[in-house]
Amino acid sequence: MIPKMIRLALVLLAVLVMALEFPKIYKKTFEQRERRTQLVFSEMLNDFVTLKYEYDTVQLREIQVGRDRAGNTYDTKALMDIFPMRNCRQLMYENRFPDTIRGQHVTLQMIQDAARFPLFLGAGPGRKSLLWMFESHTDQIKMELPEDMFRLTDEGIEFIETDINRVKGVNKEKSERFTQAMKNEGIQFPIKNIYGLPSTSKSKDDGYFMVDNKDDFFHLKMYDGEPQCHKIPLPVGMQVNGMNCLVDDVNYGYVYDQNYNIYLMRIKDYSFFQLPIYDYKDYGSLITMSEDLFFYTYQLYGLDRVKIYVVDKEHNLLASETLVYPLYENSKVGQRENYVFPFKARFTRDGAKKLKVEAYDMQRFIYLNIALTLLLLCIKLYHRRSMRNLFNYLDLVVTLACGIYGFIAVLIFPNRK
Amino acid sequence: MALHLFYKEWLKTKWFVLASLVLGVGTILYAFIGLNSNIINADGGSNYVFEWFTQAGRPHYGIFKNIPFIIALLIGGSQYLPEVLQKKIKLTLHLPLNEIVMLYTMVLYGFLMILSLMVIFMILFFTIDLYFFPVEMHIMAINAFLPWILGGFTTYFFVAMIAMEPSWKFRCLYAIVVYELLDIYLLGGNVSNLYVLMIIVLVIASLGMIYTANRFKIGEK
Repeated sequence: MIPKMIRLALVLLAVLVMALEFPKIYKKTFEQRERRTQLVFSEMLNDFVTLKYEYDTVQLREIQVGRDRAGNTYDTKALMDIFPMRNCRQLMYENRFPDTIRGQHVTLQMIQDAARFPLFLGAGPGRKSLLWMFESHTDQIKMELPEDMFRLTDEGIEFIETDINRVKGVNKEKSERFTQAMKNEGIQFPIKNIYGLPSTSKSKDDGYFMVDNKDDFFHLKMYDGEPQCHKIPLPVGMQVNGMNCLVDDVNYGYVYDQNYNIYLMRIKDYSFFQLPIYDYKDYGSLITMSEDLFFYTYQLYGLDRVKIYVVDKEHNLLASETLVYPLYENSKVGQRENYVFPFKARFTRDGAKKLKVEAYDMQRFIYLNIALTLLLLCIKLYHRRSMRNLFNYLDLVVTLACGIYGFIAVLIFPNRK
Repeated sequence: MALHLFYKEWLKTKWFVLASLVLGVGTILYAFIGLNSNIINADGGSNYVFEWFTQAGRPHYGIFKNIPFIIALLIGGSQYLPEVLQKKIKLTLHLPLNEIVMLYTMVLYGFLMILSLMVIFMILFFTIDLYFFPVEMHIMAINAFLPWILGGFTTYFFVAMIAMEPSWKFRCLYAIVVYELLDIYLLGGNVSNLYVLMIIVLVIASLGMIYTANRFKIGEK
């Protein structure tokens, strides 16, 4: 009895392994990926253009074709003309680069200087580990690493002195000085979240921004070795739900509220400027922001879609558009997977990993499950297994419930005598 | 009787236990030699390793990742392969002791050996690590070590289970399932939500030998 119960547990482990691996193998074997469609804002048309690869029967190869929202089509050469900033080097080489774009005189250098790689932004908790407190008042162009690091405790802030990475101990005097400055400003410990840029690859330091135990928002930095702490007045009803700090002369960074509204916090007066993006909560947490000479482009990412907002340099909305991608789950191959597997398992990737089991539509896989159960019954009868044995019925139940996984698992762990 | 069995197991495994000890201690010392070299030679000076840690670098203990699995294979293999390949297990099963108690005395020996080695490794690691790093780093290291060590124990139990299986065909099939299953312990990142699953797999693995020993006893082919 006990060996058979253990066998059943082993069978279920084998089912788990197959539910983790088989759908992945199936997808890798049969998925046919298409080149992704792109949605790009044209500085010349002031409108979005969809870029696709289509088979050209003259050139006998796939070429990129653009279509704007009015239905006009653009070939490769025309695309260069409507995207002069993306193709500036090639246009310059062909001597076709325009002198002015959007009424402004432009040079290749101006375009290259203004272009910024996408920044990865998003709401969520900051990192509460050991952090550096940089000196904010410095003439140096590069950040110098301090000799200590700090941690946030339930009662305050604690600076740990380091010497060739050997921990010397807590600098009590500095810790008390900073803790007192924070308490004087009204911070209630423990700190819930802290946001900053603990990196040496920045040209200036603005310290850290903290959400305290009463959900108030504070700014802490070190100026000439002394703590400077300010309470930041929040708009009525606003709670900070995340922040991405920037190295910028105008804004401290992007701040997110509890409703996933996005604000820029100004350095001048700690005021908040709301971005014209109101559906962030409908998408995943990631946002990317890229910049060029004329626009900021924000992209929100959903399961099967990406929403693009283009704003001018004053953050006025110019256009927004959603691009929907074909999902593997909706493709023919993906749909067929529903008929083969009853469910699939995977480990989530973000944050604390979890085992996630996704069941498919029972009406699709039940036929294969019933067929496999009948096949297993035939195998058992052929091998003259006793049908008085409860565990033979349990094998059939496992196959009926877990389909192909259960069928293979009960054969891997045989139940003979 | 149990002590005699322990002694029998010790005679079979002593060189492999010693090799495991050398392997584990050597790996930990090598990790710290590498760390020290990075500190001394780094341009960043005293804070280089802190930066290395906090900027999602590769921590020095990453080199230990496969050690519990290798040790489990070494000790499990040295314990069960001679017994099974030369059919000596039949002699053991004829000793005047319940078969399950007999087999689990062998398993207990292996488990205690691996546990002792892991305790030695952890004491050594954290003694040196305390010299270098504050508590935050130790918590990171503990979170990384825990799944690997649990995976090591699971591997050992599965080795025992597979070794007792009488049929080579099924041994191979079990090994494929086990190989894929052990991936759970090597996922990396924050696996705090998966400890329950890891422990369930560990418990089932520890009982798996009862199933294959039963097949061995009744002469399944």
